[in-house]
Formats: sequence, structure tokens, C-alpha cells
Amino acid sequence: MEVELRVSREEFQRIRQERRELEKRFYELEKLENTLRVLKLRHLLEHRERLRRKLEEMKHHYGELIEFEKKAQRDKELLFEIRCKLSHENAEFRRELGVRMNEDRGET
Amino acid sequence: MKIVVRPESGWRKVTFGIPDEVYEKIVSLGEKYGFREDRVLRIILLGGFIEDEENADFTELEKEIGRLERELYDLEGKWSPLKFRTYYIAMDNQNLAIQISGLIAENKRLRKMLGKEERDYSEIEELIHYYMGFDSRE
Repeated sequence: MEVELRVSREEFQRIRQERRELEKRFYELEKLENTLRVLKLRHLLEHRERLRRKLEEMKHHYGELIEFEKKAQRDKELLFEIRCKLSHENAEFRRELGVRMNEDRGET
Repeated sequence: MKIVVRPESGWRKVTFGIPDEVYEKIVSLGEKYGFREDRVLRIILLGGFIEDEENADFTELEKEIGRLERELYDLEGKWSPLKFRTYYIAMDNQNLAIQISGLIAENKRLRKMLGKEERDYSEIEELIHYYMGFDSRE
């Protein structure tokens, strides 16, 4: 059986030069296991840190969005009220203006 | 088992011959820690072994990662409908702001024509500007 591994040119040169030393490493299974264990551990720790940071960030943005929703809802009610008041006031002013114009016409 | 190492280009090669049982142990160690066969071979040939002894409980760590991933997933699930809802409220406010802007202009003109006192709209105008400049990407 055969397994093929492709490496860069620089890596290949290194492997060629250190071939005898590297051959012994296939038998250092305890060292290999420790290396794999440490690499996995480091990977898990980094992954946990990334998740913690992302979660923290999302919680912050979520909190901001909740606050914005409350503000927007309050503003919506206020804007409705303002629109209603201005609408009535303008109608009243238009009516008042109409009366004045009629009076002016009557005088002339 | 023959392990043949080749450069990305070129015909040269370096061959390592190791007993099958040793190779099987290497592969099973890779599986135990979640590394692919080629990755383990690269670690052996290029990575250098790590001598440090770093201890931690994998099971606890993996449980915590699972819990964090679930929490993140739940939050993402709540995030989209909230953003959607908030966007439409802000859009309603933008429409109201446009209407009120027109009403204010009319109100100012009518007050002038009727000789009435000018009114301070600064607070409302601030709110109008806020929603007129609302960008959904914010």
C-alpha cells in the first residue's frame, strides 16, 4: 500500500535533507500523541474564545436593537400624535383664513 | 506501508517505508484527536513534535463549546425577526416624518398669513431628521 503526500518545493527540500532523522519520527508515537492532544486542545481553546467573543458582541448588538425598537415604538406614537395635532391645527387655520378672506371681500 | 512525498511540481520523490501496524497506529491517533491522515503526516514530517504538557478536560471543554454554540444559535434566531420588526417601525416613522415635514411647512405659512406667533418646531424637526436619515444598514 502507498500513501502520497504533496508538499511545497521548500518543504520537499527540507524533507529530503532531513530524511534519516524524519524516518525515526514515525516510531515516536507517544510524542505524536502528545502533539496531537496539545494541538487539539489549543484548537478547542481558540474556538471557545472566538465563540465567547462573538456571543458577547451579539448580545451587545441585540441589546442595542431592543433599545432601538423601544425608542422607535415610542417615537411612532409621538409622531402620530404630532401629525394629528398639526393636521387639526392646519385645518382650523385654513378655516380661519377662509373666514378672514370672506370678511375682506365683504368690506370691499 | 510506503509514504511517498512529492513536491507540488516535478517528478522527484522521497519514500518512507514503515510497518503497516505503525501506520495504522498513526492513523488511529489522528482519528482519536480529529486530524486527517495527511495532516498527521505533515505534522510528523514538517511540524515538529510539541514537548509541552498542556492538560485540560476535553469533555468539559467540548461541552462548553456546545453550550456556547447553542446560545449563539438561539440569539441569531431571535435577532432576525427583531431586526425585521424594528426596520418596519423605523420605516413607518420615516413616512410619518415626511408627512409631518409637509404639515409643518403648511403650519408655518398659515401662521404667517394669519399673523400668528411663530412656533418652535426644533424638537420635532430633530426627530424628523433622525428618521429621514435612517438607513436600514445601520
